[in-house]
Amino acid sequence: MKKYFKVYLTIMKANFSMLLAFRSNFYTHTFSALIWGAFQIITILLLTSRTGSIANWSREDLIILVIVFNIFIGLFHMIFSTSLRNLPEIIHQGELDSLITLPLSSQFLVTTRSIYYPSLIRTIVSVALLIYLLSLLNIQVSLSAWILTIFTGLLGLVLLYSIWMIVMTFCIWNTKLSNLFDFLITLNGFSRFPETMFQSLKSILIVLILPFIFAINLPALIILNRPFISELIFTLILTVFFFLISIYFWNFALKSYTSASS
Amino acid sequence: MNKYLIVAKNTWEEIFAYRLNFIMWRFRTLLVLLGIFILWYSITSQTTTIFGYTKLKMLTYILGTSLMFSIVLAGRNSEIGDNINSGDLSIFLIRPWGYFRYWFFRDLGDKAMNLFFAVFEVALLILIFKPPLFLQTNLEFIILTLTFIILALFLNFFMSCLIGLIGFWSPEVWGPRFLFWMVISFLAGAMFPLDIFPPAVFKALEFSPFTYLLYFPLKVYLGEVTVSQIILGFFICLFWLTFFYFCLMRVWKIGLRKYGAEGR
Repeated sequence: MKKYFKVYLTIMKANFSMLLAFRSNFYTHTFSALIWGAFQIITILLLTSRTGSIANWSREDLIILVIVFNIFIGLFHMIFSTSLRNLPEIIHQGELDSLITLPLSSQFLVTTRSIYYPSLIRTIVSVALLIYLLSLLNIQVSLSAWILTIFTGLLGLVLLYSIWMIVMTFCIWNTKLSNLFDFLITLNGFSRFPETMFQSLKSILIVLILPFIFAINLPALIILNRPFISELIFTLILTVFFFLISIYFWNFALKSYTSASS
Repeated sequence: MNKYLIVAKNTWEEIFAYRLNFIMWRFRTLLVLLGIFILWYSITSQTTTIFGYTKLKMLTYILGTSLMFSIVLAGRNSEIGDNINSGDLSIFLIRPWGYFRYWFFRDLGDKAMNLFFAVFEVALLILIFKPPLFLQTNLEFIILTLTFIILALFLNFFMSCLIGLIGFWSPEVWGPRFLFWMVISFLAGAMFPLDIFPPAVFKALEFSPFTYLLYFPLKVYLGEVTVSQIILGFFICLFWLTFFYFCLMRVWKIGLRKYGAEGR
């Protein structure tokens, strides 16, 4: 474990050095991420300007949900999504060869290669906004609730990561599946809506969307002091299940991996 | 003209070259539409009218944006920036065809494919949810809608190409293009009709080019515009078309002088 921690620290430093070498990229991407977050909040403000609520979630609840979404999705994009987006390219170029021969978990290495620092700014700004909004609305969140929120948020991150890893692993068989990343980004986007909004969707599609919704809805439910036990149990089971599947599936897929003559 | 039609046909075939990737893309497009549709389905279930729209007209608007998106906003000219940065532009400059005409017909091929499948995706949502829909029967409104769609198609083409020409000055085109796409998604009426903005904001947006990409043609289709609004909209649209066309030609000439064919 210490070894993995040291390697991850080195990866973070290397990515930070790259950030400093391409500063205009960092500014552009940070600005885009913040604008996107702002648009999401403005959308909620507009949609609830006449109704006051959507799917039994008040305007304030929906804004808090969107901010929680920005916090945890920001963390997800920072830690995982860039690396997973590059996975088809790594496989196609044969760079995976160098990773699977190292004395470390190849899944860990492909997952943590790239750190997307602009998303960290998005997360920090969202945390500040959440604290400000909670104090403005006089919503008291106990210490135990905060700890549970962070725990369930991290649980949601592991769930999202596991699903992403399983889906992106298919690139080992077909490196031209470049649309998988955009497909997963779209599914992530569903998590900024409340789960109650999808109750009208009596279709197999709900099975696809539910894990993403629960991953982010759960921390918001705790902050808002809404019932969350059934969602917590469901998310726990899903997280353990998908995480184990992601490890098994990655190792299974590697058996089919044929090098690109590196 | 034949050579450009072949470009459009080749674009179509290129899209189908990797079929599984294509299926993922269409499934993703369906999910995007589903997310917005469910949001508005949920909102319109709570009340008979919202923002001055009945459930019938609001859901028609939302499904209409999907079809409009594939006609107006879909395209391949986002590759112009990479084309310039990689030096591939040089190949186009020595070929006997217009650069922008090439991208226009490439866009047309992409739009045709997008529209073909968007019709099926919208039909699938209609089959699942059975929403009430408004069908325009007034021929005048239908002709006017088609006119504004064509104007919107050219307007987006000029704006999008202009963004791509940033490639002459910067290796980083992704940022400005993403920002452009975000602004378009928000201010063109892709997620909601623009008249839900506060009146002062909406009044300002009426004079912007974004309003005429998705929102205004759909409002014409819904028959919710007066004759004076149609005339005003037409002239504003024409102004922006002319403005962006001349900007595009000017920036293209300046960019070509600077072009160094790096990468080739």
